[in-house]
Amino acid sequence: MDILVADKVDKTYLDERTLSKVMALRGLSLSIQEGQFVCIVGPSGCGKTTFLHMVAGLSPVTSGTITVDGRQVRRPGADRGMVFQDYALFPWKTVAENVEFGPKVRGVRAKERAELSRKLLQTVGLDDFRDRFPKDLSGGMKQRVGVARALANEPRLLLMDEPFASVDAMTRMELQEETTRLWATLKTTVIFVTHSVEEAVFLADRVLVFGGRPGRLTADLAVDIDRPRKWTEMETDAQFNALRKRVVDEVHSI
Amino acid sequence: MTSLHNRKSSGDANPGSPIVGTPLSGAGDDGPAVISATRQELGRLRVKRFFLRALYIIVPFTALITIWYLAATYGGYPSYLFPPPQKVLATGIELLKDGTLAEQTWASSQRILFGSVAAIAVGLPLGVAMGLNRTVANYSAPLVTFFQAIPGIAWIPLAILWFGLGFRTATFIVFLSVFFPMLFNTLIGVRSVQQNMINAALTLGANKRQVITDVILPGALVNIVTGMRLGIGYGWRALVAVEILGASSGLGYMIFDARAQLKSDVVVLGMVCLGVIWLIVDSVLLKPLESRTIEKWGVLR
Repeated sequence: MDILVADKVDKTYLDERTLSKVMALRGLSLSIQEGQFVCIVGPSGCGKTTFLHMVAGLSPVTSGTITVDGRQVRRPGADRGMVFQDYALFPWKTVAENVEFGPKVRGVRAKERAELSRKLLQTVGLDDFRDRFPKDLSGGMKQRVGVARALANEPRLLLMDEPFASVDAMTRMELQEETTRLWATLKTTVIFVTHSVEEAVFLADRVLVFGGRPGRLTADLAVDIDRPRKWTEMETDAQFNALRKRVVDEVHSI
Repeated sequence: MTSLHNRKSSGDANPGSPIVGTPLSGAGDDGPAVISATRQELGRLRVKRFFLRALYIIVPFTALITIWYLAATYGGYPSYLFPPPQKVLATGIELLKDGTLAEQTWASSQRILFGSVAAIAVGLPLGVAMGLNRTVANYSAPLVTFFQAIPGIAWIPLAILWFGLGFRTATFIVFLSVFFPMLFNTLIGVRSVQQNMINAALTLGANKRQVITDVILPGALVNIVTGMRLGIGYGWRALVAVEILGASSGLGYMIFDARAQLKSDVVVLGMVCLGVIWLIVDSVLLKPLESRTIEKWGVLR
């Protein structure tokens, strides 16, 4: 079943600095199946983040429609959780309070919230840090909190906007493996935006290549490498390398 | 920046954190291994910090009073023009006994308190409201900057014409001195809250009101507290001026009135009181408020 359908989506905005109209996306149509891990890859300026923001309801479509679970997206909602590149944690809240923010604003009781945050923080290995503030955490830990916070609402759709772009390479690999393990147990539909081809192929069931100005969908590739995937195996995996090459070719052919 | 000097110790944390599944060995990002300090170490640190803090106050003031004493005693100035510290102290005890000092201090305190509270009560919500709406903010920012440039004391002549001499004039001047920095800094604070933080709250299901109370207000709090501290500082200075020109009570009045009677010891006593009261207000109320918000969250945006 399709959880998300984008139909002929255009996005234009006025660049106030250059006083020119920018067409970020043109005629984007795609659908995403429930439970899929979809990566969107493309060069900067291809409209991939813009698309994610429109799905989140943070930015309106200029024309066309985006529907999630059959309902047209008009504003942000707890059914679409988001993970940000710069973490966007609330520095005045503890780790646990950050994770509990979603349930709190939706009126979940304190006791239930505490249980929920405990469970989620255990899942990402940070329960010992629940009373710490974000500034005490490393980048990788912050993003684990970011993921736990987004998952606390049990969203239908998890939107991840270059979530591991700000952490070092070693931690990134670790977080990628964790993400696939977590996803294997939760089966939440994920839309993951990245500019790294390796990351996209490693994580995804399906890679969407965006490109051009205005941005559009230029390739749609299935990734059927067995899971669980490990970086130690991927390096020599023929299928992985073939797919990576294919996506690289697609990105450069734009 | 006080944060350099009052770093909180790391407290207790578990050494390292288990990573879900199998961590890559040696993957560096999981933060420093924090080892809790023993109780002894913590205790020693606390004692040391307490004594250091006391020394930071005692040493400079001892030096100041010593120089003052030496200059007044051996400088060859008549003591009615340059009173030595012991004379000021004696006068202080005398005025404390007959109630004058308490009376004047109380008069000044009331004015600063009423003026500041009113200014914060009006300036804070107005600043938030103005900061929330880009159009309102754009239209009002020049006006706020304009009024912020006019020092509180410049309003004194007008205030005296409107309210006469006394409490109302003094409080009005304090109000204006606190109000504009408060408004300005709140406005800046609200404007500087990161869009992504607001986006995060929205995607987590927060409504507009919750975004304001849970994201924008705490996000702007550092600026709000700075506005308060600055504003009350300005208000305190303006108060002394207005008491000289437009009141018949308060520490400012006491200082000015003593000059007319050639009582330089009372003048100096009044000045000492102003400094001491401000030191207490700043270190007991304003500084902790500021450092708590800044240090605790590490909010260096």
